[in-house]
Amino acid sequence: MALRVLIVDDSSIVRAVVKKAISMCGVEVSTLHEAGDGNAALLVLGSHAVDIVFSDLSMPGMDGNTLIARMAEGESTRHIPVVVISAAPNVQTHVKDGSAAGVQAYIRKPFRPEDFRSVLESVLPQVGKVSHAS
Amino acid sequence: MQADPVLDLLRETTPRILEQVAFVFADLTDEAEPFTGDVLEADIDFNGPMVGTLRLTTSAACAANLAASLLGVEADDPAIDKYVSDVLGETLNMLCGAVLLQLFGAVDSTHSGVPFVRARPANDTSVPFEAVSFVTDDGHRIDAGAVWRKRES
Repeated sequence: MALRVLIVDDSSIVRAVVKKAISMCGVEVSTLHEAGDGNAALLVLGSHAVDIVFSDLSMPGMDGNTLIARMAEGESTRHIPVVVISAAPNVQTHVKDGSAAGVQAYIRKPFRPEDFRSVLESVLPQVGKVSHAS
Repeated sequence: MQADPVLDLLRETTPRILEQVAFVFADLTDEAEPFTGDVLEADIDFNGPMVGTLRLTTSAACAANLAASLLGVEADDPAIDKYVSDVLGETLNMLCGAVLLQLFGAVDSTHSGVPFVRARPANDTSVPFEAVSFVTDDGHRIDAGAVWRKRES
């Protein structure tokens, strides 16, 4: 079954590179949504089914921490795993604090495509999707 | 002259981040050629035990090379035009994260803002930032600078 992905980052080049990194993992993606901040992400989540969210933390408008908290409040979004992608030096603390709110893992910027492979391998079983990564 | 810990970190961290982000290799130089053509300047604010701003300055041509390398396309690919200013801001964002991690460790009290990128004239010499200069292997100049102060307790 193919994955429905949402990438949230204010940087268009990061969204493009994340998209490329996911495709390089060999994971089948059926729909790939993009959002420039938490507000735009919530609009996507309100109108589309999503299996996994990759989100930056520091964004203008609604930041990643607020998005994660809002997702945790929503009946239809609290189960969706979130992978935080951030250059913040304390990104692992955000993951620890956000683990109850669906944060499953973090990827520190700058990242390598292989970082996505290992994260997807750990997170995909939790969303009931079969990883095609090898 | 007293050593500047932030500039010292920029001196060693900037080439590493450029290589990790975009496979661009850059060497420190004391004799940088003046910028020519369109120049982009990115700022990012940070706070923690120190409060300040980091700045990355380079030519639009160099930023285009960074974007092309990051996306795996040719530098003259029209698809990269929309990423040229974005790539400089994001590179600075990653540089800032790496510098803050080395300065303070992974402490909760450290935060950085959202990078802001703007064009500036090539001959603008009014910038008050202390900066270190690098030259990339294809001859482009990149400056990394900082202004900062210790947080008053």
